[in-house]
Amino acid sequence: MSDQDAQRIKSAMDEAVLTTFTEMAFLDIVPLAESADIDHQQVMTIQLFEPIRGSIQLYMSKEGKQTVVENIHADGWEHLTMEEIDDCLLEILNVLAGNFLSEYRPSGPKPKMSFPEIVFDPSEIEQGALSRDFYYDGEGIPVRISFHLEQMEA
Amino acid sequence: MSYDSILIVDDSATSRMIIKRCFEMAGFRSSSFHEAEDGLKALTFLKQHRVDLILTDLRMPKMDGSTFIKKVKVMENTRDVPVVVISSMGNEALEKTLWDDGVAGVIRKPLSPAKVVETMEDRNV
Repeated sequence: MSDQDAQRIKSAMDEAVLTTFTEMAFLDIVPLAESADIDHQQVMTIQLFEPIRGSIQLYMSKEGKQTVVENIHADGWEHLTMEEIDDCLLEILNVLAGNFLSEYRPSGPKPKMSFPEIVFDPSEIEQGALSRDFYYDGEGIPVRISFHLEQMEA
Repeated sequence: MSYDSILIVDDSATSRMIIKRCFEMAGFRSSSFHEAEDGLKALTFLKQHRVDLILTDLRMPKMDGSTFIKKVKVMENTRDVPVVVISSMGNEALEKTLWDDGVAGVIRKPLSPAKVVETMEDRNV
């Protein structure tokens, strides 16, 4: 992958993360230059098919998940069912991934991706030909986005 | 413009909640909102109920949004109902297809009251 492609991916990912967390979860979020430890349990994942093939995973601590879910629902975590919490977290990844593809390639083939899902064992996630981790801080909440690329667009 | 009855079609309950909230905050407080989690359930609802506005996602199980929109546009009681797509994906080719299919507006998630106002007023929906 060229440096230009790598920068395009990073720019699109930063924009998608900022847009999604700011406008959907009402969380001010900034990219981090260094990695951060995240005590995660479940991982949210989504497959990308067009214009690039790969996957994106969202890693957050339980406290981070609680904050964003409560921000979106405007209600306490304890008032929500597990189904509502999972649906909320998956929708965050869905919006983020859709925005990433749209930012990365605003013209060209129609974007295609899978439905988001929860994975309990991160080792189940297929590593791509290229893998990158992007780290962010959302008002003290660390967020990690893992991006695996199988194939660039032709 | 006001809409008495609005149908929200999205497989995510979170998304349906956000859409309803944003439309209410954008001025549609007196509208009745109805929900369906996929195109099939939405069509079943539309065969029995009249609505004034349809808001739909694109990627849904059982029946995707594009197929749903095509069916809405040929059904006698819904062909003239404005359809607004609310999706996480935006792309020139995709939007051209949607306009060709007869949608009245396209809004990219994440949704906000400002985006609702902008689309509904600018597109004269």
